[in-house]
Amino acid sequence: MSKKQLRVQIFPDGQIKAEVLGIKGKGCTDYIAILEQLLDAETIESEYTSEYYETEKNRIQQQDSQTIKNR
Amino acid sequence: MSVSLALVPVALTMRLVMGKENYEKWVESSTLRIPTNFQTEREIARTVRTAGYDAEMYAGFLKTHLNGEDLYCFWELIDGKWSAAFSIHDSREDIERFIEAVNHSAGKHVIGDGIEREYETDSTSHPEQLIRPTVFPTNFRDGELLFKTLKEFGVNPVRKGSTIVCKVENSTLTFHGSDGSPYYVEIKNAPDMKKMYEYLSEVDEDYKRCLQSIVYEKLKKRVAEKKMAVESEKVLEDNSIVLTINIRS
Repeated sequence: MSKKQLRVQIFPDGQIKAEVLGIKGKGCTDYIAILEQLLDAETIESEYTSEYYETEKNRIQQQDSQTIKNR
Repeated sequence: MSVSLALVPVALTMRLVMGKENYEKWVESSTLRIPTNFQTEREIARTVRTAGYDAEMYAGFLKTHLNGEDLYCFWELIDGKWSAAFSIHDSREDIERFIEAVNHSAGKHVIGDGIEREYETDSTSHPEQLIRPTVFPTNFRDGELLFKTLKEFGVNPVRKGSTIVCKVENSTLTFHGSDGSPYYVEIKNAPDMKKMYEYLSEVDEDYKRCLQSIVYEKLKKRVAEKKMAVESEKVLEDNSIVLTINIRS
């Protein structure tokens, strides 16, 4: 299982980039507010990465197969 | 990896106040273009150098200094015609002396036709320029940090409530701001707005440098308070600081 981590890059002009690592699916969005609080900063852009879509796709596929089984 | 964010510290208002477009408009409205009959960049460089001035490439443009580092022009090719781009705040006397020297060096009239018209156009198409702008938006939001930056700059800032006042040469800079809203700066008695703008840009850079270190310190403190742990940290070639933080399960 991959580690749950935050990767924060602080640039010399004060701007910040942050990534949430190893948290699957929508759970990672909980960390947006935590990062804003840790950094005293506001999010101006956010994007889900391929892993987010990968895990969301798996979740939907699992839900679908569960629904079929229950029929 | 599942989400990637771009954040701006609340102490900073990046390009939200003036905006890139407005900044470019401001630069454009401050530009005085003097038409020329030059045909090529090589001809400009040769004539200008013979007249005793320099002509060096800078950021992809040919640049000529008129009077030390502070007064210069860029040579621009627009719609097939070369022009010399100055700031409307540059000394007209120095520009006219330069035009005379370049024409003398070329042995014919190559620059300066319609200079009177350019000055008149500038006054009529941008009437607001007759009154020099004295209030500018800034990226500063944190009064404490701004005060510290100005102090380190050696301009002896003085606080008057939420206002910060300092003197630069003969000009007075008053920074107004309140309740976390971005500061704006009022400049009184500025003999050279271009110089003043350059000065403010330097303060801006210093403010951001201080901010980087404040964000770093604050992050480390808060990570410890939340019982998280910094696994690694490093400074990259671009001077950005990267921290990897382990989250509690």
